[in-house]
Amino acid sequence: MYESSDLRKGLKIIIDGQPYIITDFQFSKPGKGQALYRCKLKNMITGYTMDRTYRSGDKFEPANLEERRMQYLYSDGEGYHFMDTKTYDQVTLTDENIGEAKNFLQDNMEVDVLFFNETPISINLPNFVQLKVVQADPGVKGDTATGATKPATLETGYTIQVPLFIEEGDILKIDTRTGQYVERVKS
Amino acid sequence: MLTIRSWFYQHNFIEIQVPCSAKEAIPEANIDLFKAEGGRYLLPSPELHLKPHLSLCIEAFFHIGPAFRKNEKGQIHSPEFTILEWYRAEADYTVLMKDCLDMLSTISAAFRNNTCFTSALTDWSLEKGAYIFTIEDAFTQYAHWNPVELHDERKFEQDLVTKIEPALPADLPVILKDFPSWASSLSKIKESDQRVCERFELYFQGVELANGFTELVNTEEQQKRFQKENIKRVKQGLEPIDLPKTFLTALNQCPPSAGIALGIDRLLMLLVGAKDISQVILPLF
Repeated sequence: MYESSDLRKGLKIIIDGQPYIITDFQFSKPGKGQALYRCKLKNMITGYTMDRTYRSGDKFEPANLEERRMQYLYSDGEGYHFMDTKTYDQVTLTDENIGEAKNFLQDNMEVDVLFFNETPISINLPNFVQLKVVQADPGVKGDTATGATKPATLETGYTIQVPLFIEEGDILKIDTRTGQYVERVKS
Repeated sequence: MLTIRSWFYQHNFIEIQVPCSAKEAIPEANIDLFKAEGGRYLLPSPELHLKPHLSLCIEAFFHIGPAFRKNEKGQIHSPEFTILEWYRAEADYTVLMKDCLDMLSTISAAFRNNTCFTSALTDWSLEKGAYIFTIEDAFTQYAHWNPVELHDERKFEQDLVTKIEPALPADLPVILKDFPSWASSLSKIKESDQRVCERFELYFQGVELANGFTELVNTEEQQKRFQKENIKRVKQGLEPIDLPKTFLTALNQCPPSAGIALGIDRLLMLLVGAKDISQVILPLF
C-alpha cells in the first residue's frame, strides 16, 4: 500500500477498482492546517481525468500494471488483434483502448501492450513510425511561401499536413506523440 | 540577509540565537516532527525557545535560523527551511502587519538595486499599498460560505487552498486576517468579536509568506488548546507530545505581545520569480 506521502507525479494507483496515473501533483498545507495532497488523475483505461484531494492517513493500492511487447496482426469487427511473439498468445483491444494510436498502426508493427490485472488496456507506440503516402494532391506551382503545407493521406487512412514537395508513394517519418510530419524518409 | 537584519537593527530589535532542537515541543495537530538522538525534537519553529523571552522584559527581538517539518515536500514546502521570527511586547497583530509591509518594501528595494533579478515583488513598494481582507469577507466572496459561523476544518483548509489562494489579487501583497476562533492555535481571541482570533497571514502572488498573531498569554487557556491539539494528533496517527512545561509557565508572565514567523526561502522565491522552492535551495540539500 502507498501512503499519502508517497504520492507523486507518474505514480499508478487503483481508485474504485480502476487504474489511474497521477498526471499532476501538488502538496499544499494551509498555515496550521492539515497537509493536502492534490492530484490530477487519469484513468488508464478510459482516459477520463479528474481532480482529487487526499490527506495524511489515506492509503492507496498500487495498480498492478505490466507491459508486454506484442505484434499487431489485423483489425476486424471484434477489435484490434495483437500477438505475443514469444508465447504466441493473442489478445484483442477495443477502439476505446487503442484511441488515436489507430492512425499509426501498421500490420506486423511491434508495440508495448499495457495489461492491468491480466487485461490489456492500452498500447504504447514507438515515438516515430514510417508510413507511406497513398494520396496527395500535387503542390501548387509558384507557391513559395515558407512553411506552406497541403494534406496527404497515409496508408492507415490518416490525413496529415505535409510540405508541398511530398508526393504519392513517399515514405514519411511521423511523430506518434504529436501526430505530426517529421521528415521524408524515401521518395 | 544583511538587508533583513539591518531592518530589524534599525527598528531596535535584539537578535537572539537559539538552538534548533529541544527536549520539549509545542503540540500542534498538523506538524510532524523529526526526532534527533536522545529523543530531542528538531524544532518546526523557534517559537518554543523565543516566546518565553517576552517574560524577560525584552521589548522586541528576532531570530533567523533553520526549521524542520517532517513529510512536507512540495512546490513551496521543504522538510528543512529557513525561518524568520520576530516578537514585540506591548503590541498587537496590526503592528506586525505594518512591520511586514515595511520590511518587504525595504527588501524589494535593496534587491532591485543590487541584483539582476526582477519580479512582481521587486516591482512592488510600500506606496503601491496592499490588500487586507478578513477571512469572513474572503470566504464569503470566493467560496460562498462563512467559516467564522460554521466550524468545518476540512472544508476550510480545502477551500483556502483551492478557492481563496488562487483568487487572491496578484499585484500587491495580501493580508488575510481574523481567522475563526477555532483556528486560533497560539493566538488571542479578539475582544470585540469573540468569533475570531487576532491572527493573520501574509500572501504575495498566492504564496503564503508569514503567519502572525497577537499572542495568547494565558497558561491555562493555552494548556487546554494544546490538549485538544494532542487529541487531533492521535486521531491522525501521530504520537501525542508532552506538554511543554517551561513554555507554558512562562506564558502567564508575558506582557501583551505579538509574534510572527516568515519563510525566508519563499521570500527568496518571490524575489527572483522562482516557481519551485527547490530552485532557491542549495543542490546538495
